[in-house]
Amino acid sequence: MGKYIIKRILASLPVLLGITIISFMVIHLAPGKPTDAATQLNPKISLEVRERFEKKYDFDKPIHVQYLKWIGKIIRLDFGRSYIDNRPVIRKIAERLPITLLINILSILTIFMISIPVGIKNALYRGSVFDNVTTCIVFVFFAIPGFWLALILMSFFGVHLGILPISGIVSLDFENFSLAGKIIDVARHLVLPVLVASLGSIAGISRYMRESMLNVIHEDYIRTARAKGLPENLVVYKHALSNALLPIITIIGLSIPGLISGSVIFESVFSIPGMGRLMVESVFQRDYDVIMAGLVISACLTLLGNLIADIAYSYADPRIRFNK
Amino acid sequence: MRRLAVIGMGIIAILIIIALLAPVIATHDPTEINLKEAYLPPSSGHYFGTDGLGRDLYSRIVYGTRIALMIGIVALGIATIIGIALGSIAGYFGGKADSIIMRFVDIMLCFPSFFLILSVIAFIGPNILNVMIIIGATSWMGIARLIRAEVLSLKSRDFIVASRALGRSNFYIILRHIIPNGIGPVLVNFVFGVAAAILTEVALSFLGLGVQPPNPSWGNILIEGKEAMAVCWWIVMFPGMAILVTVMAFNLLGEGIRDMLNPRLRK
Amino acid sequence: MNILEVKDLNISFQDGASCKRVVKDVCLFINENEFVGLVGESGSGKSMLAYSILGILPRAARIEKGKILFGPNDMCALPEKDMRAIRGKGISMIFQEPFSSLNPVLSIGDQIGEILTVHEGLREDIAKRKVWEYLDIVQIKDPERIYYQYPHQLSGGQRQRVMIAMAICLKPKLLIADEPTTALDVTVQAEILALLRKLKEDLDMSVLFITHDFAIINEMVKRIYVMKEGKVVEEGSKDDILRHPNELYTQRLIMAARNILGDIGSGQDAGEKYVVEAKGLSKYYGVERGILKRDVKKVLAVDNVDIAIRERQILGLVGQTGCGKSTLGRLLLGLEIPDSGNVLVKGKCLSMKKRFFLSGILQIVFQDPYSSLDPKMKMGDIVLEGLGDKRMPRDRKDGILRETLSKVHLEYNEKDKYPHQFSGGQRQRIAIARALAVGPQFIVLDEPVSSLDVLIQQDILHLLRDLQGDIGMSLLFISHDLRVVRSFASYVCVMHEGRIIESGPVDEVYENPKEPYTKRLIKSIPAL
Repeated sequence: MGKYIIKRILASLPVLLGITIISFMVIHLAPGKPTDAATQLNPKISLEVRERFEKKYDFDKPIHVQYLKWIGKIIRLDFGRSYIDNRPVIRKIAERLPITLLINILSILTIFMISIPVGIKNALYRGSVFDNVTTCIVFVFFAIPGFWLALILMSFFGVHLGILPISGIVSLDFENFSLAGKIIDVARHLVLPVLVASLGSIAGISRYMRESMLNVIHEDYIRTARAKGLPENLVVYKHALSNALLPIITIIGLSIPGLISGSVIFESVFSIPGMGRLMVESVFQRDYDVIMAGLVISACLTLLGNLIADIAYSYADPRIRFNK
Repeated sequence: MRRLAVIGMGIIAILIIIALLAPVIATHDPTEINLKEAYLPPSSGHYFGTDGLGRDLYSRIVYGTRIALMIGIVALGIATIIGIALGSIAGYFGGKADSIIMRFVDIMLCFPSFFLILSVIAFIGPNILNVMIIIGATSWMGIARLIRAEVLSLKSRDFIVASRALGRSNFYIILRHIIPNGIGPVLVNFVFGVAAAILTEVALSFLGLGVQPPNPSWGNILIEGKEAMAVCWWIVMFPGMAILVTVMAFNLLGEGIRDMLNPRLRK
Repeated sequence: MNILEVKDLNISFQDGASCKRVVKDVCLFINENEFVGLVGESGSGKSMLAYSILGILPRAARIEKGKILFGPNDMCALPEKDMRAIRGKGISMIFQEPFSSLNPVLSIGDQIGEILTVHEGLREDIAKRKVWEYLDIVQIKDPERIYYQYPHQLSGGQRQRVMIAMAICLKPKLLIADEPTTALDVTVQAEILALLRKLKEDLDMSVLFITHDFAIINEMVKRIYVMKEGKVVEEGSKDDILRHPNELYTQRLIMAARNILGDIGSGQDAGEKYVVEAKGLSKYYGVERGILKRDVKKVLAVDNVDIAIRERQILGLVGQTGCGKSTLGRLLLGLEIPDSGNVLVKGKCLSMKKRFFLSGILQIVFQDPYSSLDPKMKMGDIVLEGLGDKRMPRDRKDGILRETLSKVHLEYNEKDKYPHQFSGGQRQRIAIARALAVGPQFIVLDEPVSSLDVLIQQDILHLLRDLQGDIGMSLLFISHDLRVVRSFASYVCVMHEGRIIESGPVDEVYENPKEPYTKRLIKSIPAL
């Protein structure tokens, strides 16, 4: 197993390299130089100052040199400085990242806890009222735009019923709460965002779970398990589920970039200070260093997530764990 | 299941007609500002009410259909062409080409699509054409993987070997055997992809980084919806329902096609 | 004293919109310590009958009426809880495909042990020791290690032994064996059959042995029931039925097992000249490149083989799965490039560039009639595929189509149908027609009947024999089924691990095998 892990890590390195190359290329897509926005709009800046600016960002050197210098910097986690407030980019991201991660991890847990049982029940009672109703609900959730759902939930729970807060992650008088109070406050603020973030995936993954279970239930080894006289819950939860869950691990791994993407939406709607909203703000403000850093870091997180899912799968499936 | 696909197809047909006949179906000019009639609830004069600038919401949504369908279909068209090209080269020729292309796919899949789209829009500016291109350029990976898998599985099927034994050329085999057998999943992917593309465009427009006003997109209508949510429910409801119905229609069609392809392959 | 009695059993099966009777008024009984055979071709209802005894019918099947008496209980009327107590303990079952019948993600020890813990309430460590005991009883070497392994790490024979261990560990009164050796190599088959005979005696249990193969029946059982289309059409002692079968159906099954193709004559006599010759052929498979681009792992699929087929000769190529026979067939046709050695076709060296022109001389028919036809092509187009780009007027092509279809006994007016609308046997005829249409002089038949029902196999083999008699092409008949090759070919080569270890006229090799491996193979064939 150890050898497999090392092989996978080594295989990820070229992907890491590729991520940096693509991110770098995105920046240099723009017609004109990125610093133009910072300098051109300000007529007070003289030509001299502009040239000095450009030299500082190495725009006068050939492109591969720029790239190598940039790589050198980011390896040391130096992503430059935000030109808005001149703080190091890495610090800005470090402030916002944990919140986004928290919400996404909570989402993954929620997805697990809801879609897997729902998918299993759907498969076992195929064609029943429960199955048909959940299928319809799933279809609807697939089609609902996340931000629209967020707006509706906000207005219903936040404004009409007034039981859940609708913006930020802490209330105004957060500092005055006890520890327990602080935790509850954050939790209350997170309910709606986590719900919105996970709804689409819950729909999708419960469908996959249903399909996977249906495929497994018809396999020969389930017939053998029944022929051995095992009680039905052993047949379903030990024999069937252990096989049906395997592809789900992969699918959850594959939905990580989608979840991170989704943070852009719900963080904007719920005014949550996370990575997604930072990206949007930076795009409006043309804060290029932040944008680049966001791109690279989010891609690396996805890579890490996929690696973990991969290793988890190879551990769970004995056909891979014990390969001659 | 076939019934659902037909319903989906029907709804899409209606949407296409709405899009094509927008100037005829709309009751007002979607960009006409009339401040005296701002924030009116739905009535016989304005079926869906008006927005903050007095523009007729119904007409804006009708014209929004055009934009949604156009962006969805063109973006997926771009994605499908790239995906089929790369996927079939990787699958058929294997070897180095396969490794390089699949690496590229892996790298692209690591980027959360929104982050990538935002970054590119930041640099090339938000307008309809750019949105179409960038959504297309970030949606081809799934199709490429699918095509590659199809080609690989077909390559070793006995009827392909038989074809070779009968002396047929590569070109004939691709045209006569591989494409007809592989086209099914591509179609399914295309339909689902259009649904996803529409959702992406709508979200982008909502953030202000997609279709810019005064061009009416269901997404940018909802920008106002957010502000006026508490009092003007119609500005939130109608565009949302339009999105919901459209995306569901494509999803139903996709599921229907997928189900139709399956049973026939079973012995 | 009978332990099982089935009375007037009727089972229906819901297939889409239609409801079929798959078991009709079946009556049978099994005594203590008795070996009973249930014979019939696929679709005759034998498996459904077996499932109903255990109460594990698929959802779409229903017992319409009848009784299944096991001791004092009527299995049809028992509540599920009581049936479960009997399954695995009073009656147990082993299946045809040992690979897919074992759960791939649970360990062997776990899968056997759970029977003991569920039925007998044994503690884990006591159960573990019992599992080792039983693994030993089914003759698995090194049981402690196998306990922790997974199905994919075991061989086919080992897996079937594990299944048997699972079935006997609670000393059932009745063991139902549903085609347990059909998917196994012939040498392994002989071992498993011997094991079953021994276990029956040691454990004093009855066995209901389900199969389509009368030769196996002959070796194993004393009493037989013959099933056709859901009904029991004949029953009696084995000797009686073998000597005087009443039904034509039974006679055909017996002939299939003996593999007598009737006296059509053994095709045309072989000519003097060679149509295809090969010297020193070798081919590697699964080459893995290490980091330094050196070949780290190589498997020799074909190892320095010399083989030659004369004009009008039927050459049989036998061997167990994985011995390289398919690869050899493809090398001879130029569908694969050898790593060393060369192939001569009618005296000229076979080169890949000229492969196109050889399609008129060399052809192939595959094993699986489901994957060898393009599901999106019409039957007529499939048959004429080889003639597609040759410039020929349409009516001449049509004439060839008519002629070829009539030779394989297919209807011309079905030429616009798609493969899924034909049966397995018909699809194989289409594949044969496709190969014949280009008028080849040498056809490689790669396990052409192995995927077909036993009686359909006979039909196709007769067809191939007739065609060879008519047209006079050379045939290379590749198969793992030694009995089929014996009656079909005139000359045989035995292949093992990439090498041809023995060859000669068919009767000689089968009656006086010289190599030890060949002797083992011949001895394993169930006799009739």
